Amino acid sequence: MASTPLELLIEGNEEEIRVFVGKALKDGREPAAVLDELSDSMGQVGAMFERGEAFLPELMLAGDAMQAAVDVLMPALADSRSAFVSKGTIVIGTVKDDMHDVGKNIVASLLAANGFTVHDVGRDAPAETFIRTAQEVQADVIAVSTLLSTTMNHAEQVIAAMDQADMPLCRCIVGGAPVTEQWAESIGAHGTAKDAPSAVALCERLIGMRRLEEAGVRPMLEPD
Amino acid sequence: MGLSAMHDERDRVVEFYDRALVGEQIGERQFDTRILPAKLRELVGKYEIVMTPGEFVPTDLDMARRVLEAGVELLADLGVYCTDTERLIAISRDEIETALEESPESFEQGCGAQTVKVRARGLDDTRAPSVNNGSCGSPMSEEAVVPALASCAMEDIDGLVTGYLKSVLGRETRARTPIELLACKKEVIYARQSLEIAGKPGLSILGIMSGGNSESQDACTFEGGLRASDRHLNVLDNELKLSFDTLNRVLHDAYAGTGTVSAIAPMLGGYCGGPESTAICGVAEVLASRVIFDNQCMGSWVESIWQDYASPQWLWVAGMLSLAFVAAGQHLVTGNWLGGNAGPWTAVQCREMAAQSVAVIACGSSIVHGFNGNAGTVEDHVTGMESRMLVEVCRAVAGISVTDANDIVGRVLAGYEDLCKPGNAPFGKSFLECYDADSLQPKEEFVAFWEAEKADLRSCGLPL
Repeated sequence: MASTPLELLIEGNEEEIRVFVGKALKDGREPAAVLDELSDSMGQVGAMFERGEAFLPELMLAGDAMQAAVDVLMPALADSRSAFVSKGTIVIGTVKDDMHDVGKNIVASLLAANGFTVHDVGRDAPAETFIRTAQEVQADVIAVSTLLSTTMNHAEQVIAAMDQADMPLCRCIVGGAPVTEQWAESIGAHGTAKDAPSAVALCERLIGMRRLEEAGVRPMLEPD
Repeated sequence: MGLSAMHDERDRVVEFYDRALVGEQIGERQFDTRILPAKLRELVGKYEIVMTPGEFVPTDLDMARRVLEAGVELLADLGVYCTDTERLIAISRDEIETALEESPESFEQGCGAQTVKVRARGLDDTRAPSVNNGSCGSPMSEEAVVPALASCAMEDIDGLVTGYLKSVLGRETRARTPIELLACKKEVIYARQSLEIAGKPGLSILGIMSGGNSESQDACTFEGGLRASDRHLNVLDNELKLSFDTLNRVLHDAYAGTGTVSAIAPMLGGYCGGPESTAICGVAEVLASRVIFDNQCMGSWVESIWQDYASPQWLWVAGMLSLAFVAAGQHLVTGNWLGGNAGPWTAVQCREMAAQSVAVIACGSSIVHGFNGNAGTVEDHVTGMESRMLVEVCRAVAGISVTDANDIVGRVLAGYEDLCKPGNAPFGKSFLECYDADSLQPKEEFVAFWEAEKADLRSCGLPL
């Protein structure tokens, strides 16, 4: 019996998911509908992870398989003039001198599972790598991870480099064990999140607010 | 004899360096997401490792023995991944078995009047475990570090565990700067000052927490720094990984003559997956640190992506990392690092500490390397009272069976499950809020609080 997209994503079966997409297109399915089905399945992987029913390897493999599927779908989406609607483009990495990347990988994978386009610059990444990549991919958000207190200053350097590079539309969030809301605010970050699901919600909120501003809609302040 | 190089046991790490150059090459992401998880799934099935839902302390001794067998098979089949060469460092079954056989049943730490013998414990062992404690990696200010550590050393601990110095000489500690290196040196200097104040100059110091790389870590051995009777940490990366920087540290310790303790931290929900596979991976990491680092003393911390340090699965894995060896009759000096989400002077912290201590001591842990509060993230949230509590609880529960421990832990945590979770756990107080900084004595209300908590814990079955 053929595997479902959810099963293929969980297995990280890139070869079979390419076959699945190719067959769906050959059968005449709308590319946008295929993408919706895959996105729903990816969302289910994220939900399973949050419930503790799937773990980090499955989340990362699903992200890789989803990318393989999207690569096959892209030409068909362009031909059908359907737009591939990403929730936003995120550049994520762990700061210079910090070799810890498990937390960053969790956030990156959960963002991908929730419909964001994620560019991972890896660990031990200098500020200029974050900025160069963000400029290349026109990132909506730069997500900076620092597990060590001794490397927190490198997150400040990313924000300083953003200011210098004049990227008014890009937002920056910071995260990691030593990061507090007060510290994030003090260095000019647009926010911080205590865990991966909160980081996803924060990116959704920041990008949503920026798009409203671009559209000339002033977000109403919530009453206290 | 010619002038050729003579064998020197201190050079043993070079053998693993050589293997890192020629082992099977695999991409790191491939290792993390496919090779290791697939092998773990295979071993969980093959050895029928199943955590009984709701069980806090592992009680199935046959299964504990199978966890050890699975851990041996994992390490013998995969080896350890070197992140510098992206190759596997092969380790043979013979090497693992020899390392276990040659594990010392005891060792001494500390010097002079503070020399203590740390012994491998067994099941239902009424001999008290050794208890180290201190700031245990938590951030410390220069203002509070000496009095806070002195307050810990004044309690009946067997070794002092240092924390991370947030600043030195008024300058923030930053990676790869002279301040990071200085912080590592000052960390030991301040620890030794605190031992002098406590009147226990020979108490063993366990560190170093202020430096993230071998250059700064190795700066801790100097005249007035770490001594042979102290303990330096050797750390494996998540999961089953190491770098040349780790080997640098091992080599330095071998030549400096410093004692070592391993700090392995298998992560629940991470590359290991669930509790069963995390236990197997953790056992393999203990074995790897024994084989590669040649540590006399083990130290296992269970990391969790959910930070659920009082959940059944966390306690089960923490206990299993000792029970797997003890149930199989191995005489390894197993050890556990403990810690929770709540801060000092809170009932929740007492519950977290009691539950974790009961679980690991009943499972045969030989030494507890300390308990840190607030998940080790809040500055100066360290006091000597946590050392008092930890010592009293760990010594009181020696001899409790795993079955009784399971019941006790259930009662200790009843009604506290949600309060122990991150975000719900109470923040607690800082050292200067809990202690008189001049006399280094806890406030009377804090002492009274612990006496009341002890009475509550007694009602849960702890023989305090």
